[in-house]
Amino acid sequence: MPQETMTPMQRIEAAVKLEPVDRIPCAPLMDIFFPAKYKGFTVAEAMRDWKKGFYSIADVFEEVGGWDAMILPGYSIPATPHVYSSGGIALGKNLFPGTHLGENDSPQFLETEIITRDDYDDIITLGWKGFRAKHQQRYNPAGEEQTIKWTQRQMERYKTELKFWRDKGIRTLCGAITSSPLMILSTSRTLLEVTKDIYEIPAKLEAVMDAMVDDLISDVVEASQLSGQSGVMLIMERGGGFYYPLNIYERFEYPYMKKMVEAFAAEGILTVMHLDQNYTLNLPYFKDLPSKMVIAELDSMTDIFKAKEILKGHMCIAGDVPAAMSSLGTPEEMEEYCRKLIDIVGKDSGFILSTGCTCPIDCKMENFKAMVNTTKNHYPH
Amino acid sequence: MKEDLAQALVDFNKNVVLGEITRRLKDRQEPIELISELQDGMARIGQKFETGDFFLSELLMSADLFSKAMQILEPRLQDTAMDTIGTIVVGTPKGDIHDIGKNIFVTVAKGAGFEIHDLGVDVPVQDFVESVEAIKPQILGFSALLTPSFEPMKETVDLLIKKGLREDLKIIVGGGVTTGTVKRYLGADGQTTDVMDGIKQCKKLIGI
Ligand code: B12
Repeated sequence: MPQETMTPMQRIEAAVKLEPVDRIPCAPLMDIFFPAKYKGFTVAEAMRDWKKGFYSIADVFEEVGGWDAMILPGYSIPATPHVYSSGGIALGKNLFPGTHLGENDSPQFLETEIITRDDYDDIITLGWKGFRAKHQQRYNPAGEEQTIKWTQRQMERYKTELKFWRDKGIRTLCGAITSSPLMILSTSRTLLEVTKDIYEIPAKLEAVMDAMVDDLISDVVEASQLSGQSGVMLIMERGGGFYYPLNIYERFEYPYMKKMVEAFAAEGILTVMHLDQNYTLNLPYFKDLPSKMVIAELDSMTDIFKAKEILKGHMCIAGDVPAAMSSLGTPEEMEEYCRKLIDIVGKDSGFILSTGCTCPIDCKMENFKAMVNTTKNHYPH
Repeated sequence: MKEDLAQALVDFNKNVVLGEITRRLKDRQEPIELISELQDGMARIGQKFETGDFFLSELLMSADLFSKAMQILEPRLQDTAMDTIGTIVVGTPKGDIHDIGKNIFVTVAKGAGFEIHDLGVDVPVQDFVESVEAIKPQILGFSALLTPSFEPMKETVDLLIKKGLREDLKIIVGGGVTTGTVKRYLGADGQTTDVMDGIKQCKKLIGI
């Protein structure tokens, strides 16, 4: 086995800055579900009990001999102390194990219209924060005081989780989470309804997004100051070439993400673009985003090799072990897949090996180990 | 003057499509003829999708309009049997409640001339098997966005084999989380993450 010459912190820093690395860093994007299941807790148990949930990730970390960085710390949400803060949770009807679903089910998102066209005027006049504050009862019947308490507890825990990883010599890339205006509207209005808005009332939709974007930016700046971590996950799963032609992308997704990413970079905040689904067609646009201040994090639907071709020398790429391979594949398949990523996407640095979107709840431990170990055993040429 | 119903659907021109249907029904045109024109429109949309001129968003708009039109036309069919090119039973397996992808597939497959039996979401193994037994479709389609639904799919396939129902049946699995690995695991005949590709595979599977 070749000699490691960098610490995990140095390795991840170098990968993000496209500088030489001793080996490709591994930073699995994962939540508590796979670790909790592995530890023998029910999913609901781990969700109810922060310590059980979070520390089960730490146990998996120890079990596999560690990895290089976290994209998100794992359990809590970097919420700001306001009634409108969602800390990046998709605004919509979320169904949770234990309450709406069975003890051991995966959480699920029910796609229903919780924002309607009738709300658009309010968003345009009040901005996103003002709209959310005005209608807070609708989205969270818990009441103002309770909600703010919840956000504060989330942020406190988030900081504890960041510190836990830091003490292990592990950097967490994100101190805030947000979504593009299109992503927010697609999940809160539904894919079909927001698509109708695009074709039927484009100017109005644009005005809505204009009214949202600055509030989304300022919330991220506040969250990353509070968490002390200058990084943000920017979620975009409903705006790419899988769904929309480029003229729509250029009007309803790209200008907003660009504005957000540039504003973050100006504050020294690194953006991890969480790009689920196929963004292959959109890759050339990313070359106009600030260099070395953005990571394109892919879920296996985008052609990651094409991404390397287009983005090499400009931004780091993370990804993209397919969820289905983690749950149904074999360690050999995992190793082969990861080796190929390391050889091609990892060439000349600028690559972080990660799970595509997240580590699935039914991931096999031997598969997970195979992924982590491949970065330790297989060095880029 | 008669408007081109198929073209209006391609342009997702709601007023023309719905207006024209109302007018022509009043003129006593057979609903089945109107459906056939709409299906012609859906076929043109499919071609545009294949050549890359249309994206999912355009397909969504047209498919939505097609299903609105069908809501008017289907109840008027009464006893007229619709010509179909094949029968598909489809559903999202137990543990998964996602339906946007499945619903798009259902509408587009209807538009392509398939008879569809949609079992909905969170469908237990037993329901899939009973439906296959009762309806005797050529194709069984699973839709999935979550990995834990692979197990109920596998159980369904195993039970179908045990009951001797697998041989004459083609199985296709679709949805953003599915891959070739999933297809192999299930011993399925097709797999896709793209609706038009799915329709093409379904046609091929039954020899069209
Ligand atoms: C948008 C999105 C979200 C949104 C909205 C969720 C929703 N209900 O749509 C939000 C942010 C809320 C979300 C949340 C979560 N998500 Co999510 N999400 C997605 C994403 C990017 C796209 C899903 C989507 O909207 N597709 C649009 C529809 C139209 O596409 P489609 O369903 O694939 O259908 C098309 C084709 O597949 C085909 N088709 C569909 N069915 C059928 C059937 C047949 C027979 C045929 C022939 C064709 C066919 O036709 C359709 C049109 O082309 C996927 C990634 C992916 N690769 O799909 C992850 C994904 C579904 N999410 C995932 C996860 C893990 C989650 C979370 C659990 C994350 C978390 N830790 O909390 C949560 C909650 C669970 C949930 N998914 O509900 C994983 C699931 C994997 C797993 N572990 O099981 C995925 C697959 C990402 C990944 N690569 O890992 N998610």
